[in-house]
Amino acid sequence: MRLLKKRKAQTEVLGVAIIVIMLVIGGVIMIRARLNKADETQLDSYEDPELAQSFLNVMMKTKTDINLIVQDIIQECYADRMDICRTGNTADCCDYAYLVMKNSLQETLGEWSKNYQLTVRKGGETKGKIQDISVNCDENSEQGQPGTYGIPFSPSTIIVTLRICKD
Amino acid sequence: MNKKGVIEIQFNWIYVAIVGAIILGMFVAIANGIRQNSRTQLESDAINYFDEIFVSMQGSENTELSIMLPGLDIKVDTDRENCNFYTIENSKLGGRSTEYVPIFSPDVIKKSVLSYSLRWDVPFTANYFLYLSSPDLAHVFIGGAELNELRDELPNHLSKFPKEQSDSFKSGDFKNQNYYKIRFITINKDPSSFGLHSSVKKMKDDQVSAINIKPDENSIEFYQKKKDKLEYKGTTYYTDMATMMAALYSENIDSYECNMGKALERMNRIAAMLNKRNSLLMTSLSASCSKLPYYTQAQSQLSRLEKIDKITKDSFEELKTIEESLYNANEEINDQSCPTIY
Amino acid sequence: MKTISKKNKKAQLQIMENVFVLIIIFIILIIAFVFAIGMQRSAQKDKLDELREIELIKKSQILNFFPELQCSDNNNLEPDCYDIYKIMSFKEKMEEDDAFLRYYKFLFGNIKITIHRYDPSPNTQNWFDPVLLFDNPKSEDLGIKIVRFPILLRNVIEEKDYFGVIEVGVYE
Repeated sequence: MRLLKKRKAQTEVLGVAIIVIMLVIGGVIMIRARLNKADETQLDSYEDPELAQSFLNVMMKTKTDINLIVQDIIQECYADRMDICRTGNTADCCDYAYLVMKNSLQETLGEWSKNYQLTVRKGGETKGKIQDISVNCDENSEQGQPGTYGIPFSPSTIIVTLRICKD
Repeated sequence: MNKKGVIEIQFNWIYVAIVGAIILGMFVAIANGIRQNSRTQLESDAINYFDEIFVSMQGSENTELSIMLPGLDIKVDTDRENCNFYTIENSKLGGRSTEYVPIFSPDVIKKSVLSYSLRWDVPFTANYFLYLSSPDLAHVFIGGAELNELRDELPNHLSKFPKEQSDSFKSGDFKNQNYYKIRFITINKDPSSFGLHSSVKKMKDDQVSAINIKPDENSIEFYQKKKDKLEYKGTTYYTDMATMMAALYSENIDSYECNMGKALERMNRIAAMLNKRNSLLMTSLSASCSKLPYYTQAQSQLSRLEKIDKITKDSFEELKTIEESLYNANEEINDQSCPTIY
Repeated sequence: MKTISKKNKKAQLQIMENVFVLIIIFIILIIAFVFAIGMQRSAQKDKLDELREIELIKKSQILNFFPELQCSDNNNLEPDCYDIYKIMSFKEKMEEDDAFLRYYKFLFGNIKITIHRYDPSPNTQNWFDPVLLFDNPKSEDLGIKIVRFPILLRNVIEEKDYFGVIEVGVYE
């Protein structure tokens, strides 16, 4: 009889102990879930898609020291023009366009610690170094909405695409 | 010994009842607290959301937007002296300022917010007007074909009556079907002679109003229901479709003039800045462009525009004259491929 | 006599058992409550951070619909483009007209707007001196959150568009 009564008391305490353990485990799981929650902020989801498109819109219309806008220089690159873009640092328009775009990207997106990829294509046709200017970013990387800019080049269009990749 | 057993059982039940009631009371209090907290959270989220919407709507001119209100009503200040806040009705949260954004709306918006935006050009862009309404606000057009153009200009998401505009449709024909506000709209008529349907007569005075547009005078008369009739409240002025729509959306004449005051203030600032820009341009123009008389003309027009800060017949007529003059000057300058004034 | 005393002690032990159960329940409830408050506080802090970022986005969006600075070609406003002469005039007006400055202080709130110009030409590659267009700091320095956007800077006299960056900082 005495033994039975002792066991009864132990079982009761065990019950309370089980509840406490369950609470602790539940709490730990909840804390872990909170810590693992993805940290994308409003700013990230707002900034990147606007940034890629704005950047292209601005860069393509920027006038350079040879008095041509970047969009026109890319056109001249595809038209294989060399003379108008020949300067101390550049042999032809493709060279010139590459350096202008690379400098702009490096001094802005690069400085702002963004990874990016800029591609220039006309159908399947690519031209020298301007076909791909990238830093830690490609089509397979996690990225926001890309910006695109079309440059008319009869009979088709040159498509410039800028992707800003997430870290 | 029996009596001892009886007392023990009753004591146990009393004990259980008291402790049970305390625990139940605790849970009810916690649940209530959580409910109140959720409501405050919802109101706070709604206010922040609308704040964001009202800023970004400015860029979406001519775009009709409809935003559901989940059990909340928006209250907008519509007094002459104070048209600078909106808040959630019956909320303890503070309101949000609209001190610089002209918002033309009724005093309360229920069910969902129907928003629309237009640029106000004078002729340069002086502001973005935000128009707010509700699907439970009826816009009743009294008149004939002269109202068709106005109806077409207004966004499609507004509740407009009758379905087809016709002279035979009278104000007394409109039966209220659960609209919380009714606005009668007419051109060159006298709303004080309008008859009202019995269902409209039963509504509160501040729920029924009318405007009478007089295109020849560029004026708008406001009317408010008083008992069974519409009573004249005042006359104000407009310059173009954007301002006419502003009056149409406004709760009353005070709200329209208060928000137009905000618009005029910003117009004054932009005119001052453009005037300064004009002076700077004039020092750097090419020889052919500097010969044009339009830059000097623009200076005097912009200076006059800096001073227009009241809504009167004369000031708005002057505004229209300056607008036309600046527009013509800019067109001439543009034709000469010279830098434009705006 | 001994039997009566034993029975009394037995009854007291039985009540104590109930009391202990209640105490433990209340302790568990209090622990849960404290935990919930802690989670709530953490969620509120996240919410506050989110609100600050929304505020930053809102302030920067004001500049997207800002005819005072935007390029306008016969009143066709261009996005991502700012008129250099408007920038100069706006800055000068703020310096010489107190009412003008006060108006825009109220409109913008506590923000800082800086405009940078960059020449990406291969033979130049040059950042020009930045132009501090507007600065309205708070009395307490609690830091600043910055958003940057590329913009075109248009000179209507030279008929040239330059590469620029607008930096909008919202004081916390």
